[in-house]
Amino acid sequence: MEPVIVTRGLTREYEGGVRALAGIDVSVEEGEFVAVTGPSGCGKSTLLNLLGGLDRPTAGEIELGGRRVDGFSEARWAHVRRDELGFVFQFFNLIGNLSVADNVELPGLLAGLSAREARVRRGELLESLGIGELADASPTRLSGGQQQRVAIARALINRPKVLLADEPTGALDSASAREVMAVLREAHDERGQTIVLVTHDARVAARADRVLAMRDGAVAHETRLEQGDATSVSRLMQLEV
Amino acid sequence: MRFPLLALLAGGPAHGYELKQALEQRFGSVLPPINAGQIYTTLSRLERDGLVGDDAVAQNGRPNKRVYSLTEAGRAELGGWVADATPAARLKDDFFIKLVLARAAGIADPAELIARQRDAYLQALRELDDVALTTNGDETAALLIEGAALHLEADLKWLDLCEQRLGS
Amino acid sequence: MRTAFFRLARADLLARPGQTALTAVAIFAAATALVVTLALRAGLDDPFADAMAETRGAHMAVYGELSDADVARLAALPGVVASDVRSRRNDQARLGGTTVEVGLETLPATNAPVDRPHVTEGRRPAAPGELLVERSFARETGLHVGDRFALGTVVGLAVTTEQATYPRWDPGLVWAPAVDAPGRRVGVRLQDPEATDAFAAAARRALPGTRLAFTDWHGVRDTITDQTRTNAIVIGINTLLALFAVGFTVATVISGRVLAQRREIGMLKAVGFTPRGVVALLVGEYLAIGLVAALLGLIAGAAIAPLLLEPMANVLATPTPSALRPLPLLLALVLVLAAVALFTAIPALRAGRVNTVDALALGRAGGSGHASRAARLAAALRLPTVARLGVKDAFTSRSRATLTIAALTFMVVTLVAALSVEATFHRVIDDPALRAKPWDVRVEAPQALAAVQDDADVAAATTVAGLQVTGPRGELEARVLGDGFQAFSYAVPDGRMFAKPGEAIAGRGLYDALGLDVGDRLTVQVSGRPVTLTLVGRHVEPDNDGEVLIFPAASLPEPVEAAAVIANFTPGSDQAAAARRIEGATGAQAELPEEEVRGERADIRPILFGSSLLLVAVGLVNLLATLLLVTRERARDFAIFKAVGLTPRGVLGVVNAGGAALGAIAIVVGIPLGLLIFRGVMTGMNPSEGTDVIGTPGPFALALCVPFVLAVTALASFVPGRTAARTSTATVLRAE
Repeated sequence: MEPVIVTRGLTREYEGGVRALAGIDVSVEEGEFVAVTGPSGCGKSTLLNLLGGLDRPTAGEIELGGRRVDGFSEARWAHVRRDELGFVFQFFNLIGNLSVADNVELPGLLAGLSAREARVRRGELLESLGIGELADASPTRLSGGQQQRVAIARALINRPKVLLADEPTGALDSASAREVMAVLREAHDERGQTIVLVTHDARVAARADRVLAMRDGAVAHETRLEQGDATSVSRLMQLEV
Repeated sequence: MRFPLLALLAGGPAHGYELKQALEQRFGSVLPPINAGQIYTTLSRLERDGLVGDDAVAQNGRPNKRVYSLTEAGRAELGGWVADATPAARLKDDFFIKLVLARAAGIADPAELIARQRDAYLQALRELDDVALTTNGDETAALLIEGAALHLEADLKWLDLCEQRLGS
Repeated sequence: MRTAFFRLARADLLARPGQTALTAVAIFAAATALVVTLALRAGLDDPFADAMAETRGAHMAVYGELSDADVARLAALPGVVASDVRSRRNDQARLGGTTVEVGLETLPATNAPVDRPHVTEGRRPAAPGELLVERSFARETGLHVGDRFALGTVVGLAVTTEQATYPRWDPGLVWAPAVDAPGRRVGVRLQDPEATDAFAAAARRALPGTRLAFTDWHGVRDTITDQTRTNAIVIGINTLLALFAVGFTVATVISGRVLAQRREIGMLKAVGFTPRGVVALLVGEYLAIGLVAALLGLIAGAAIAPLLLEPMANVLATPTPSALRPLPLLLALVLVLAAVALFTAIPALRAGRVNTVDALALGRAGGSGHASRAARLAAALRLPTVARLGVKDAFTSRSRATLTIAALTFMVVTLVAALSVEATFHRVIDDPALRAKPWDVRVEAPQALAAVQDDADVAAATTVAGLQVTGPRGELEARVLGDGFQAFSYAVPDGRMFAKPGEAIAGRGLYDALGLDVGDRLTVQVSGRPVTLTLVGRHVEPDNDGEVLIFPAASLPEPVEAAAVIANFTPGSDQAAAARRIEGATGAQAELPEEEVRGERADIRPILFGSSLLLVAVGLVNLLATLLLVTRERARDFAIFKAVGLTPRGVLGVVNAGGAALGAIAIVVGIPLGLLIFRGVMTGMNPSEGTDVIGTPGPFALALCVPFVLAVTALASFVPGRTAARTSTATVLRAE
């Protein structure tokens, strides 16, 4: 397996010497689902922002698909984001005055898809996420779970190498959170989507192939998770006789 | 198993095999396999304590079937069980004992212990989640899984606390 | 409660220092423009009357070799309320290489009852050899304070209404502390300013045998008014637009910001503020900014105003008004603060009525998700994605789009109005007939007809005379043209020019006053004999409110004494040279109407450009404030655009495309609106001739508005666009 993302000594310091990230080395393989957890302020969101070029590292390297991207200009990063990355945010960040369809098609159109192609892909995506009938709705009228699914569709329209998700369930009730996680799991399990996901929710992190636990700007511990083999819930209950 | 059987008998007299079936029907996949012997042993203990009584019903060409029913004492015992709140699960955590003692004795790195434990909990959580995918609308099973997952999440949070206070 | 108010207001203002500063700048600009405007307008109503009052101008001046007894007799004539006598002689001086006639007068006392020169620059002469020079004379001859020439040293310049501006009226006036001369000038103020003819007659009767010359204040007034009319209108238009601009700027900037605060208003209500409390808080907050900004604006305005007031005073021949009079300053302050309070209260009240939950939600997201008509059009036009986004974005919020379009339209209107003024001047220069002067040159010597006709460059010449005739409702001003009038065609918008004796044309004022129409017949008494004329046309007449009648001299039963010779040159001749030649041949002054207008235009340019600049500056501040506000509100959307792969240039493109779309609408609306407003103001300010002389900027000049507005929009979008492009996406998107 080829690594899609590699970072070496990735460091981000803010003004006043605050170190959000202190030399992180991470490698994400193609088709891998990596969760980043840790208490707030541990640097997990900073890591994600750096991987997506929304923020710039103070030092260190980022490789995406085998090429260095850390020195890219804002404009080149924009191209990287539209062609190779998909973003999902905690607060959905849909554009309120565009319809669901427009929101999803937007990055496709920006990346140069024809209007037809964008429409077709959007239709397929919304259908597969179970919100096909909401295409003409305004995002503001949707529930949180629906909005996040729209955001995921938007992130996937350009068939990105990597999906970057920042607390995608953080603003959702547990039922909506489960819906959204099901969508992400499907994308990964069935279509091999590479995902890097930041969360403070252990339950969400447990879906990943690998969990990076961060502390104070560094990866403190790494857990590899195996697909569960249990076929029955019966061993959860122990009736005393 | 005493109180579940008493509770089932509150619905009316039943024989041992019917009780086993009723249990399986209520808890479905959640319940580990029960053998009939377990049921009969419990029933005879209950009878010994005067909580249930039995009548033999003749069956053609086969041994008599014993039909159990609640006695007054049994009904009172059951009433007490239902009325009382179930005591909170008490923490009887092997890991915690291991962590404290191993740390005191200097025979293991507490951080490593915690990390290993976290791996185990996360893996358990993952398996729970995978199992959850197979419940197919079984509400009892889903509730049980949620309960277990919440316990695991609490355990993971507690590990974080342990790490902060005892980790080094 | 008061503490809570204070803390909230302070926190709100400090939380957004940029917006607060911008609001303050807008109010500052508005206050500055208002002070300048009020100062300019104060001098506009009747500039000549102001100058008359300022200098206690004489209603009648008598010139002659008068004894003290003569003077006393004149002063005692009935109707005289004040008089002042001073020595006067005509002298000559060489100035700038030419010899000019100078009227040298004794400097009157500072408290002289009549005709006190108003010193506009330098000081009054105090010692022999020091001179005070009339301002227009000094300007024309290039004299400055401190200059020395044959008559003495110039120590000051002054304005007077003794005579109209030099060189229309000459000789140029100079005052010296002591003038030794037999000639004297007696200026009198009359009980009834209209009774000048009666005074002249009485003076002649009182001093039989003495040669007397008179100057009637009406003559001074007519010359100055004729000269200043167009300027007054132009300044008037610009100041009206400025008042409009001030109101508009305050309205949009403040309303815009208050509307953007709907979410905060929702929060205030959530913690227990009443709607009235909300309004009080916001009004107090903006009044606090407004007070500081407006006070600074008053200072700036008072400092800038003289830059415009001085050329205006020159143009209008009045003493320079002071910008530092307390009443207009106070008025400006009150007006600005009232506007601030009003335009805060209205949107705050509206916002206060919005359901609290809705208001809280409003701040987060809005919009229906449906494409606006403009966005659909953009899609239909197959514009690139970025442009479509921009257009869609621009029309997302109707109130925001309206606000921006209004700000842009206002700029276009200003531009069109300025271009229209320019076009009007052009039209009048190209066609002196539009000022009822359909000739190339006018020679003030009626006997010189033959000499003028002899000039090689003269194509046609005739005589013109002015006379009073008696119409059905009293005296009318009339002009008659001599033979050969066919070569001098007045501008006649309705009907036609008269073609034969017995036909006449008249200005709008005469038709209106007498209730006549083109085609009617009118009988007037000329020297007691009736003359019946057929009105065949209405001509453009700037004088006497258009109550002027013009007809061929041959219509009259007996010839009248001509006043001047008018002539047209052959096309392509050097008019200035020909005029000098004619002056040489006839010994009389030759006046080229075209040069007059050209001079006027040069005079008014600084005012026109200055006030237009002020307007454009106010418009720019307004536009910038609006766009900044709009962009700030959209920061989150722009961050999302960036997160999904829009380049910084793409973001700029979105902002610019939106701005361009709004700019296009502003141009489409603004150009006709500007023409309409200019026409309306012109007609309103000058009913008799306004509509006839209005120039419309050519299509090319109007087309220039397009790149200008787009450039201004791009420039104004650049700052907010760049801010949007640079804002840290991560920060914006995490904040909720």
